[in-house]
Amino acid sequence: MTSHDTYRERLLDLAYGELGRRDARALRAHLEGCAECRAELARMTATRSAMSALPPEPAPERGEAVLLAAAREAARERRPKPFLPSWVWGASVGAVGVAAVALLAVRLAGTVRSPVSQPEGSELVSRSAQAGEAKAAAPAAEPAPSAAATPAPPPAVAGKVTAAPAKPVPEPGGEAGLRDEVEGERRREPSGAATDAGPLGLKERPDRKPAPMKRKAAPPPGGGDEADLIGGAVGAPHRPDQPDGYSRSAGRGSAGGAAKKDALSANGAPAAARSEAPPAAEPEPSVSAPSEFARPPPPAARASEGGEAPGLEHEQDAAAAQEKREAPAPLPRAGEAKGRVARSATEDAIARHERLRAAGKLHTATASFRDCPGEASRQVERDDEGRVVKVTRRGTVDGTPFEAEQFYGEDGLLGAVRYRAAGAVRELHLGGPGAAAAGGVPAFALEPRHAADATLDAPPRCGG
Amino acid sequence: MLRFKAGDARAFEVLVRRHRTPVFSFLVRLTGDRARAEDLCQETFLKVVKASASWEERARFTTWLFAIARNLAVDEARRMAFRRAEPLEPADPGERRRADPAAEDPPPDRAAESALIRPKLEAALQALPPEQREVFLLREYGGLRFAEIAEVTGTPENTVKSRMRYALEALRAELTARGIGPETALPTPRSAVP
Repeated sequence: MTSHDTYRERLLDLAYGELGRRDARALRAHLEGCAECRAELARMTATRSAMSALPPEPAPERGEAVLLAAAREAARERRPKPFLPSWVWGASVGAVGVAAVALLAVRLAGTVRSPVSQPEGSELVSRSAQAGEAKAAAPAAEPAPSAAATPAPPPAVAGKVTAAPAKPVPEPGGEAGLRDEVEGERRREPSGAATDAGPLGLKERPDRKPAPMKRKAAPPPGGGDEADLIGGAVGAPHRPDQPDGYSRSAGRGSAGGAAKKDALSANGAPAAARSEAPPAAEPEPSVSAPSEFARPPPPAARASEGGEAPGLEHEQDAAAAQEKREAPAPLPRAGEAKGRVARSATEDAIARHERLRAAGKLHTATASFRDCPGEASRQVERDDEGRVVKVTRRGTVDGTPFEAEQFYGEDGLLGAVRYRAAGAVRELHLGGPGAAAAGGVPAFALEPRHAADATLDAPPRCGG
Repeated sequence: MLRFKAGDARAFEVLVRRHRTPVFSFLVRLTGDRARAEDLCQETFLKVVKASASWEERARFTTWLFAIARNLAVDEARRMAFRRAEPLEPADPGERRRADPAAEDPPPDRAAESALIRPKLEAALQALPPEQREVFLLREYGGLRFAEIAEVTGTPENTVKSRMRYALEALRAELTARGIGPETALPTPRSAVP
């Protein structure tokens, strides 16, 4: 039997609805005959009722924006990271860099080389245009590999090549093929075998077998067989006697002998050169970047997205850009790498950003500006020493949203700009030969030139 | 909260919009200082942001949130008490009443009552001892159950309920003294001693 005191103890629970149904029923039955408990419950209820006239205090609005900004920042850091570690991305970028440098070398070869190479050089010019066409056609075939679970890095050269056989491209020339040939050229020079294969090996290209084994002769650690697998997957069987993989693009158009290339690979010289490509860069078959906004696609791909053929100027810019990015690639390079880095020493702002980002040495801060269409928001990334490395500016120009990524170099000057608007991406490297051809990057995206003027508290550029 | 933990910033926006006013109300009435409450409220939600990465669904989010707010307020009150070397509440309730103009006002006429009743309610709330006030506020404005309040305050549930009873009785006495409430005629069965 429950006592009066026990019931009285439960009055509070009853008043606040925390009493179980059975206990509540028993207590109500007690209340019928207990005036003291009834009175106490009535007092509780009346007091609560009186105090309920006190309305909630609305929280002031002014702190909310700060909270939401902090939350966005935290959420951004917490979002799932890309499937592949950052060094794989970097390595992939490096791989494309190698190819882009090759293009640059080809172009230079076309203008500087001896008269013997002159015809090839001119041929290259036309082939460069073909490369652009081939790129424009590429997306039709590339979604298949990129639909795989791995969000593969956009610039993986080998992946592009392996995807190629799936598409019926009669044109034997393609950018990848061109790159491969230039790679061959660059490798032959130190080996002294250039005279065997001709200046650039262009004439042999249509006859090459689609042997996919770029790394077969000298497989880099941990990834050698993967290239074979890719080759097999696309129906290009690996031939152990043809370890040279540079002719894979030629395999799209026609199968043929690869005698010259075989000779090239047999002389052993390319072995070291092949290890240029970081191990994880090649095997990824899904090349076409699934998210262009998250990662810049290779310049050629961007050009094709934008519906324009990659002109030589553009290619040259891209080449310079890519060779910048390969600078922090983990694998040691041959002596030529030094030359490339030195040549592009003024253009490594993107590479600098990549390197610092991969090392986790960037500190990000964001500001937003009201009623400022030209710069609705600004994100500033600084290194450990507080120097501005990158500024990402978002806004609208003539009603069109844009994003301008401005990369600053060690010297504190604007080194590169990546500009996105209306689905197109443009990249401009300042100080290089292609700087004059802004290629769709508006002038306002080239300001400020100095990192010191690009701090978070710098006045917004609302006028575009 | 789980969505925010997974990187969805909009989920936090929903949390802020839903809980900021209750937390702010709790803090304003707990501290009696609007500016402090504003700072504490900001700090509470920034702590939520910071701690969200390691948040686990062991308790209701509301309970966790009010625990953060309450602990911040208590810590700050301790720091202030140490700095000023004086108690948070005036020792003499009579002195407090004298300092409260609303307490000595003549009874308002019906038209002015609604405008004047709120300061009196606030004053009655502020007259509560802090430990009773926090229990009352957590129950009435935070919507926490007594067991959750026990968790937040680190106090046994029975103690929480006792404080709540005392708080209600003390409030009733305060309101009666200020001429509020239809229950003024009701006798007080026992004194409100925590």
